[in-house]
Amino acid sequence: MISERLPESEYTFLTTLRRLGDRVEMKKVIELSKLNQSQIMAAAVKFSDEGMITIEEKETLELSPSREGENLAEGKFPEREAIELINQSGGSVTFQQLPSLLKMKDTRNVIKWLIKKEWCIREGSNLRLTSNGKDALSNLGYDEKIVSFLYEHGPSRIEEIEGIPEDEVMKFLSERKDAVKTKKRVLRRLTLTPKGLKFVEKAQPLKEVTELTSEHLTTGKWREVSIKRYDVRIPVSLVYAGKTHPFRKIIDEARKAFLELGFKEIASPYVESTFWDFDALFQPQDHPAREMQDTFYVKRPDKAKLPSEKWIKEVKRAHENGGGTGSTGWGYRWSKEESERVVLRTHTTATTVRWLAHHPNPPQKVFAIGKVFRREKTTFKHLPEFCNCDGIIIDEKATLANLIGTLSEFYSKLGLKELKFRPSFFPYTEPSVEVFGRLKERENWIELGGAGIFRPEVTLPFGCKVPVLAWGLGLDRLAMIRCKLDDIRKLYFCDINWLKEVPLCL
Amino acid sequence: MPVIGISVEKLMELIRKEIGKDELLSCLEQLGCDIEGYTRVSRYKCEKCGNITEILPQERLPFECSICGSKLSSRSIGETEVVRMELLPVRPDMFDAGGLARALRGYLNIETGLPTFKTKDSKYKVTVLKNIKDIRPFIACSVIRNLNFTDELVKIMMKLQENLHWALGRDRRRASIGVYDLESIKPDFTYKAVAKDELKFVPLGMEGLMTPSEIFRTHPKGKAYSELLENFKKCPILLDSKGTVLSIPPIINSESTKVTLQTKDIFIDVTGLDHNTVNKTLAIIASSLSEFGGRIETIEIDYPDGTDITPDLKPTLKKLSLDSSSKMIGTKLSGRKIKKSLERMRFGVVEHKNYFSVKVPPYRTDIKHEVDLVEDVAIAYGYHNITPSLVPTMTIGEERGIEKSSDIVRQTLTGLGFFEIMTLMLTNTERHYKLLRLEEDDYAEVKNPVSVEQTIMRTHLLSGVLETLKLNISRELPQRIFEIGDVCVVDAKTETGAVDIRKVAGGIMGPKTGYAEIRSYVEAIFRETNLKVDFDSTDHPSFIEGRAARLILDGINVGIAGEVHPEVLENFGITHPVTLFEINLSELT
Repeated sequence: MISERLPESEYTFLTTLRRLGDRVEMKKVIELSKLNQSQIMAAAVKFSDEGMITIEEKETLELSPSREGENLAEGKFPEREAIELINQSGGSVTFQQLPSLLKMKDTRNVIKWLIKKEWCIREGSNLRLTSNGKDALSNLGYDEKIVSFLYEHGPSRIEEIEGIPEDEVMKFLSERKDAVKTKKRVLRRLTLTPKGLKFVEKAQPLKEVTELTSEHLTTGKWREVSIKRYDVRIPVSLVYAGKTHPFRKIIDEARKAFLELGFKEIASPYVESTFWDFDALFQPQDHPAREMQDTFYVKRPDKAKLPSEKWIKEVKRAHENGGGTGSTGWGYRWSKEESERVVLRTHTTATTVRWLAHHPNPPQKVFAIGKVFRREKTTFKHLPEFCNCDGIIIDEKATLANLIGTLSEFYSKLGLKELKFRPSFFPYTEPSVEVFGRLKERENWIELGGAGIFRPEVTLPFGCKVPVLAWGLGLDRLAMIRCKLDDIRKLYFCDINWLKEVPLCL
Repeated sequence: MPVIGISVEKLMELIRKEIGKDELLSCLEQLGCDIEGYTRVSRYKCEKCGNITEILPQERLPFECSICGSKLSSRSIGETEVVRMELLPVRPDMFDAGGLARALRGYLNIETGLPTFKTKDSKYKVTVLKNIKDIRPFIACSVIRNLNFTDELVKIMMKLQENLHWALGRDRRRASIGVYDLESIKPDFTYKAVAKDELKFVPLGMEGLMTPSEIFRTHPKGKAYSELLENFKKCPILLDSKGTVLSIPPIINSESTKVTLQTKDIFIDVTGLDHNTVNKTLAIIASSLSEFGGRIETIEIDYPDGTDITPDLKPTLKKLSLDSSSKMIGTKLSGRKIKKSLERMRFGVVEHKNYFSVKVPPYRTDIKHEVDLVEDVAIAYGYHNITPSLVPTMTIGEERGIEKSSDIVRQTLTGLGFFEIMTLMLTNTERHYKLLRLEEDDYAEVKNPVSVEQTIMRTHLLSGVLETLKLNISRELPQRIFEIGDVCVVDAKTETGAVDIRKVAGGIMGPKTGYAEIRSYVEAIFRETNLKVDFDSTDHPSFIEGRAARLILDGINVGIAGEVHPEVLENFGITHPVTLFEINLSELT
């Protein structure tokens, strides 16, 4: 049993129904109660579910005048015009006279209606007014009445058209299709049941409020009010969470992945000597990657201090003839001045090789993520600076299989479903591996980066005598794909609307 | 990396076995090639030198022939299907269909082990005069007979020459190649230096007689490469016994000695600055041409102080210990398996008790160390067959301290509704100092910038925040953004001459922002980092006088906060009030 304390709108609904009696049209209830349609509907459904009212539904047609119908209503029906003129011409005219009399070229339609309504009959080449026709002169037909009613009252349901039997309306509809438009409607009539009537007697209205206030709560008055119902489907204004940059999120995922795999995070300077950026990595001093067209050289500071003499001597020997590394070296004269030049680091492998030099003894597992610089023009695909992720494993037992295993583990944490490892070439690793991956099957393979086992010419000069697994991976391309960007610049030239919309869950 | 197109038909013919196109691609990938895929190309022939230029469907025909520099005819001589791949600089022996097929035959077990090259003594000599020593001292030569020249083979040879110039020759400086019709010249030969106007000949692609200095001034290839000889009064020249000019290495050949479709036997020279490079380059080109049926003949090179017989196609010997492959790859491989793998990669192998003695083919330039052999074992074994595993040693992960404190600041600011931005570290003095009314300070400066927009490394984060606000001036207000990032300051005390500093900067743009608001946020950051900050007045030129405070932590300046000066806003084109702060996070930890 529902509470007798009712929201104001429901109380009004019930009392209005009681006042109007049985089989009341919904439209009437709206008119009288001053409630809106959705309030009435909600109340009707509620009380019908309680068995307090019955709802009769009937399908009906709603008629409204078409443009043609409006023209008819404004003037006269052409056949009425015709009988008036025929009457004035003595009750009979020839078919030939008709066009000039009616001032229309094609009179076939008028003749059709005159005959059909039995207002005239054909007599040879003449058209003569009948007694029906004479009666019609002073009485409008149903069709004329319907059109003028609609013109006056606007859209109306069949049964609302006064003074016309429904079957006449239906007949009219089938004959003069072009004069009206029709629409299907459901007519609802509401009746209070005896249970409803009894309930209304006891029902009391509650005041309706739009907001619950603390006064309602402190005084307990919330019991005497009803809180207005909302249409909860209507959109509201938007709010946005303050957020980490999406690329930062991906960098953090990469950091977390390595931390979980037991790696220590390291860093090294952006402004770097060519010694650490190239020479320590066994890149010959005339290697094309060292040329001015690919690498940013630094004017200020223009010269770096080199590390210990011992390291310099060993690196020099490795380059020139292999030194004690078992290699033939590159076979050229290594220059100390060349390795004192200063560059913006071209990879974070400079970071890992620095670590290796200072911590040559196993076990070591370290990674570095940071900006690196290449002499590229700014386009939608390239920027002169981007993000690298390097790592090394210094371990007595490290193998190529471990390298592939570690990178597979890392990338699966970053959401890559499939990986591909292919032979490749880098001056400082042997064997060398190129890593490709994709986020979904059948998508394009993305080039993720290079990896390998550091050559003895890299590790031995720094006294590291065990295998060193190494990799250098790019993160920007992956970030672009995960953020669904087609232009890399959008990562660094931030549109605040993009930052607001891009979800934390990439 | 340059890209080459290898004719699929030719390659299949040289592999001597029909294999599917997908299989071919996967073999090439497993050998380390960076494949672009199959495509059809149109071919155009240079009427002067016979070189073939191949054009992709979407490409435009170049104006000049890449070999002789003459104008190219726009009439195509036909189409062919090629497989396109990036050049693998470490394997110049796989730059052409011949060398690539030799490697593939091994990989596919069609023909394994060390390829042997039969050579005959041509009885020809090249005399090297002393006066070339300081200009371009080394030369290696060969005769190749019985070549059946077609347009295809001319194209392959020219393209190989061009790519070897790139990969080993360092754009002709270290080594350059010349190829001549043997019938048009008369052995023996002299390699020497001459004055740049001492003699005249008709260069390739031209008609009249020219002196070397005229060629350097007017011939397209002369103009392109003469800088290699700029520092010398004289230039190198290669002459036959009648005094006919073969070429001015490394610039241009003579017209009369060029290879035509009627050529059967050729003479090749490689000159350069490095003895080993010159000899390796010749070994690669001679061994590749032998794949097309050429018979190699040696030539005696007489230096003032010794004699070479070239090409030298003898293998070199390397040792590979029995267990190093298994140890490095991480898969137990039997001696037999290792031997077979090396043979598939075209090495000659003799197994001893604890090691293999490995014969390295003369065209391999990349075998410096035992590890280089291990890589080839791994390639033959197949990277895709290696079972991934992790190193067994336990280690503990640890993040950097500065990242921890950065993260606390990041959490604080995002919690306060700020959006994080990232901007570039490279900037210029105009945007970094002048627009902010700042004096220039100790920034690191790029010597060879690629654009005027990026000439220095940033020393603060304020300009990045203002530039981002400017980008967003038409977006809904207020806006709150921040960046956490590194800046770089010159510091002579450090090893590399500069030091990196972690900073955080934030900005608010909107009609009601002011000193009090920005200070509240700054105080929130210090509250969350458990530090007590003091605010003191300062005259910072980027801020309104009396509306900015410096942030002091234990007596040290750690940042700034305040209302941005209207002139600065005007400089950036910002039409709403802005407040900013910047904190040195490196000082906080």
